[in-house]
Amino acid sequence: MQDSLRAPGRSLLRRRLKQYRSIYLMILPVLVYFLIFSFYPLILGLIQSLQKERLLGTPQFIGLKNYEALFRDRNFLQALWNSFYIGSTSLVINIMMGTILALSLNELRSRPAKAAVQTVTFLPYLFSWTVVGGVWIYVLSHNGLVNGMLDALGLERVSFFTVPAWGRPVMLFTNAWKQSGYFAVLLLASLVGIDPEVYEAAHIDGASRMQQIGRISLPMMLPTVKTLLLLGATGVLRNFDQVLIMSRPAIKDKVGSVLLFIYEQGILKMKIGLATSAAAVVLLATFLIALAVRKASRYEGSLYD
Amino acid sequence: MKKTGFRLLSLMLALLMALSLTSALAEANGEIKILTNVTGGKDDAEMLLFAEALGKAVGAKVTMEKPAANYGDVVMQKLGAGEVYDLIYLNAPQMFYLQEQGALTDLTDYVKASPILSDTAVIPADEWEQVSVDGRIYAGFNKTEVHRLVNINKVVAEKAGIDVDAIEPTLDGYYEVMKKMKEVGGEGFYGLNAVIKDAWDLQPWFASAGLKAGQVLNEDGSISVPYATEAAIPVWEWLAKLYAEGLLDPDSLTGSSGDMRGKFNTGKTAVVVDWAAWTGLYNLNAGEAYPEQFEAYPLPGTKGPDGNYMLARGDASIWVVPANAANVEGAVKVLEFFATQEGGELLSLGIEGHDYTREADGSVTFTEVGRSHNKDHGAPFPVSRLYKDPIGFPPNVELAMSYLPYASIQRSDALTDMYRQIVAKYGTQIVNGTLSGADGIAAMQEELKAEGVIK
Repeated sequence: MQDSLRAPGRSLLRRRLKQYRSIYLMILPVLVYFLIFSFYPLILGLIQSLQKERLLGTPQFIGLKNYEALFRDRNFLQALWNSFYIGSTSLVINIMMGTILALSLNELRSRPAKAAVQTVTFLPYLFSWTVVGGVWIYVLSHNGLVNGMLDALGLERVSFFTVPAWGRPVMLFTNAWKQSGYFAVLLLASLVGIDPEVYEAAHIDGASRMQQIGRISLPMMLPTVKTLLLLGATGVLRNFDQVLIMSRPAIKDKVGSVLLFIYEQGILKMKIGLATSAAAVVLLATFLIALAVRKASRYEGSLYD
Repeated sequence: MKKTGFRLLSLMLALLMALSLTSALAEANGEIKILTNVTGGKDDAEMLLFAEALGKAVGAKVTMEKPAANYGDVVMQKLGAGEVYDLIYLNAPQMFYLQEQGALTDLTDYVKASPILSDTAVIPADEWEQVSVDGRIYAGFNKTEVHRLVNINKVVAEKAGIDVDAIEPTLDGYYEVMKKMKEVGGEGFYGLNAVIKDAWDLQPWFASAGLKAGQVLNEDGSISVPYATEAAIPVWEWLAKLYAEGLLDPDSLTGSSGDMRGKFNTGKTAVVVDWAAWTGLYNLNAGEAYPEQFEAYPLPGTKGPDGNYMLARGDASIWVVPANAANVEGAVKVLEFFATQEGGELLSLGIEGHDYTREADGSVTFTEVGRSHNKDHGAPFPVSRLYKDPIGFPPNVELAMSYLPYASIQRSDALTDMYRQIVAKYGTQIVNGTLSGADGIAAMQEELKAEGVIK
């Protein structure tokens, strides 16, 4: 009797698998790739976070002791806060700067000028932080371009990498310089997708250009902004390259990121247990941040909710 | 005809037997697998030659692997994956991380049983303290770690009317020297360049207060950091004074040792503190400009209250034998070989017939390849104190090495990196005026205690 009740469900599943088998077969290699190279290492990492590391020999299961040590470590807590502060502030700044850049580009009538500005602003995104960081370290150095200009204006030189108060502004500014062009490209794509008749109708109704931007362009860009916010939220805690290249001892307390902490503990000091437990915390925190951003931005809501 | 054939066969058999005996002898010590970073050939082809030469010397088949980059990552990955090596190149702090995990072989008994390694004329007894934990030895040496000392641009000094051998060995004395040299040095010239972000090259200045670099183990078993005591305040304030008066290159707070060396070698700095070997390298790198336009001249720095100089030697670069090594005896044979004259020649001059040729009278002539390698195949100053350099040192290195008796080993342990970060963090802020000397030292002490560096 029960078998006959279950039978319709099973046969439905079988029918679906048969019907879409070519699609499932196409997905299979990607799924296997992710299982082997993403999920399996993830599971291994979680297991290692519950062990006392031994590079050679059998590791010892110690339960949550690595996590206890982690949350007692002032450096980890500071790094977690630095990552969240710099990551989230950078995301907001990059979206704002990207929006301003996209709107400005959209107003340019000259195609060559538009292409030139777009290329110049997008180029920094293509370079690695090794190059970008090296350039800005030089530009912001005591005898660099910026201090040279300050000197010429009769102002006092600034030690950007040796005064803690300047640590975060430097990271935020250089991150915006590198990333804004990329955000602008994506936002510009959403802008050019807006039906020109909407603008024409607004123009006929007497709306000024600024009003058109405020009442048409910005709301129509909102879905793209939401997507960028959600994608960016998953990367809030993942700043590593920039900090590794540009951090210096005096500012490290303000800019040292949680991934840098994991690198130092796991790779330099070979404390795998501590490093993997920190990585697990980052994973959980990223999940919570993405969930919160999705809810706050009403990601699946419509424009008129 | 029959006789000839028989003779030929006998000869072939004898040859075969000789070959078998040779290869048996050659591999009497089995196979030795080495993971190396600095030591060895400069490229893949030379690495094979190096391994062959080493194998012949120790009677084993030697294979050497040298990762192209990210050596620390590679060591971790290989050990974590269970790969078997007999010798791995490390620096001293890394040894402590691995020893804590039980990943290293205790070499104490092997060292005691070795007539070479236990000979204190070859390796002084106190050297082994660098690679010991609780009295047990966990590594052998790659080279003799030399000291860091003051290097002064002699040409600019003479232009400023300074006799480099008559400089007053005090902070004030060097201040006056830097000031005079800056006046004649031209635009962009600084009196001193340092690498304060790594806090590794300040010992000659802290010597003026009798303060040793690093973490010091006291008689009562406690550990202190002399650079973070009240007695260190005048030295930090001296550095701050140099910074405020434009005598200390501001890039000293953020730049690397490569930046420092580039500026000194191009005549942009009066004084730096660097390894004794670099005195020679600076002069070699100057090419034709040496000695008329550039000469790096070594000095022992400032004298302490007891009238003595105080210099620091570097963290040992070492070889460890992993706990899962297949051939510990073979690995120890390699460590013994490195501590001999022949081993020293392989590690410094390079491979005979490739890097250099030996004449009938025993003298050595570099090939073009060998000359470009600057006598450094991992050990510009080999392990053995009895080593006799067949070629001699680059300009002024012998004078730099004459100050070695003033140098002592800087203690390393698992918290050495933390010590450097904290001292550099607050040292930077004292020097650039963000913190006063007293506030900076107080903050340094607090954080060093919190991290367990000061006990």
